[in-house]
Amino acid sequence: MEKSLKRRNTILMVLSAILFVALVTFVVLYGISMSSQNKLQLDLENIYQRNYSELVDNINNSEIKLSKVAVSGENAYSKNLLSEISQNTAQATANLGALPLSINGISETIKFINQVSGYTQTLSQKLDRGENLTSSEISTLKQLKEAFSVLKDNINKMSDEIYNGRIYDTSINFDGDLNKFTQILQNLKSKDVEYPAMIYDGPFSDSMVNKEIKNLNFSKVTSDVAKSMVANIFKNADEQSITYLGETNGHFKTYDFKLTTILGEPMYVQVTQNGAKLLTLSAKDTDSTQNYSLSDAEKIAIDFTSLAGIKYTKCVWSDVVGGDAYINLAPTENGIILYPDLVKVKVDLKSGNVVGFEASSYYTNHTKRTIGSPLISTSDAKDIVPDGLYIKETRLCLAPLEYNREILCYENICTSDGSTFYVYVNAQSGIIENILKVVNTDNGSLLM
Amino acid sequence: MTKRKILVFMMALFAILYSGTFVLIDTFHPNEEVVVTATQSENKQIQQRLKELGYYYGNIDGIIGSQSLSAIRNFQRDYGLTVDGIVGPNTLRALGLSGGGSYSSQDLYLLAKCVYAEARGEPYVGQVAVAAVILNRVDSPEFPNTISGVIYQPWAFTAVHDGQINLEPNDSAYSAAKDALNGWDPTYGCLYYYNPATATSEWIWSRTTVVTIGQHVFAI
Repeated sequence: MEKSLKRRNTILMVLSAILFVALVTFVVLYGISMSSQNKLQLDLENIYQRNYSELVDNINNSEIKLSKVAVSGENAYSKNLLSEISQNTAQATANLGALPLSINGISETIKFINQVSGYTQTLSQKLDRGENLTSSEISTLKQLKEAFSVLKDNINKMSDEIYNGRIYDTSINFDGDLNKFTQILQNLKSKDVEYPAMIYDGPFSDSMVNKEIKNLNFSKVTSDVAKSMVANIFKNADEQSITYLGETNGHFKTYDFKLTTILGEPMYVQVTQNGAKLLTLSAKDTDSTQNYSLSDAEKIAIDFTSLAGIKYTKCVWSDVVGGDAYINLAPTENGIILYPDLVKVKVDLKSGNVVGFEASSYYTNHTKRTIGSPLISTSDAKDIVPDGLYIKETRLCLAPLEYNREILCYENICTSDGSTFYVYVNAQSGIIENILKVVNTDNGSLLM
Repeated sequence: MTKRKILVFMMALFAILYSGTFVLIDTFHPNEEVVVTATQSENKQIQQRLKELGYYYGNIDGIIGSQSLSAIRNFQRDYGLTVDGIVGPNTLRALGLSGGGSYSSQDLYLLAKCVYAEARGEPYVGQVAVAAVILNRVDSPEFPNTISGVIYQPWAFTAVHDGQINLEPNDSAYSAAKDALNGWDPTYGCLYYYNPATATSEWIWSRTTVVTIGQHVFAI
């Protein structure tokens, strides 16, 4: 009896010891875990604080420089100031994007700052070309300065709210869809701050966002007409397998269909409501088998595009990735390649079928143009290409250089040290407009 | 015997308690630094930024000479980049200057990861559409101006917030990302998408619907 009691006591003692050790271990580990969590939170807080400080600096600097540029009558000095404002504001949007702000509350502020960056960059380039600022541009800059003063005050005010606490703590406190940190910026909206309209063709300008569609002046058709058009293009699909899914009502308005062919993977087809033109085809193909060559694929792409109603195109750039060929086709006019009107086709190299088609650039840009004649000859253009580049081919093209500008160029395809470069020489002025390099990666070639 | 039991018990306890405190740190793939042929105005921007940061004291002339090269190298050394004097996407990003609309293979990988995390259960076209929305945001003035800036914007994507972004993407996600980078956009300019069955934000319902693909409503 006594023996068993003793034994029970021993068990109890051992159990207590185990429990005690477990408890101590738990407390120690919990402490370690909490301190590491605190440390991580502190690291995160420090990143937020750094971004916030940089944001304040960038906004303050922009405001000061905007007021300087408004009084500076000297073009060279203004040019540098404008370029600096563009960089300060670009950095400010990067800072804003890294802060824990609810996106629905800051998109307008980011848009305004981004547009100031694009606007000042465009004006700086204008001065660089030797032109002067117009009086309306100068008055816009003055208004921007006023708007920035209000923005600066509000962003500085945010520090009163957060320095007592921390950005992290302030930001996780939500009220509806907005967090407390965002609300300070959101309040800007209700205050009467005038954002002046910035009229320019440059980065983030409104004209870039809402690009006019030039080539869809057709009358609206019914979805049945669109469906028979789809059946006409995809001969290997019987009309039964074409399912009408609904409409897309975005920048382009389309009827959408799902198409199942004998090949298996469903295809998603979008046809314009105006004129029933095939606009986009998307389908999955992850099989890397290659039974067809690239030149076969180029021919398949051209024939398919012609069937879709876009004729006389030429293959200008192609690339094989996995089991697919990405073929870029461009229409030509008097031998001039029209790059703004690119049509993109993806061909499955296993079956030889088209599994992707994208013609939104074509329908946006293709129109009757008056393209001037080149003022310099092909051999002049070749002379302008920098030394050290070996020219393989020179051809005339219309290049979509930047922000809706289309420029007649000589495209020189060159090699140097095993790399391929595309050098674009303006066919009127003879200056080099752009140099692109072909960068080969595991996932295909990129033009950078 | 008892000792061993205690040991096993302790180890189990240790494992249980400690597993909760682990922080998963994903190892990123080494980034390939690719050469970008910069124009003179881009070179000027680089010189300007290096000057602001106190690395460069020469003229802002857009010509990368020995002074600019040594400034680039010193900058790369201080910022833990490959010291090669070449201003690639990493160096540009570290300088706070984005690549100017060019996309690198790192961007493709990041885009594929986001597509996989956000839309792996969706039809293929829905995956292309998600990738296209990310790229539309890069182009839009209302959002950050780089792919990583858009994807890592706080609270922008659920799958980034909960860590699913660190899953390895499959072939379909890669293919969808590649299509979107090549210009495919089945939404024609949408900036938002949400799953009406799970969306908690009231504000998102106020956006104009453009198209529904799979479980996602795409909107502007």
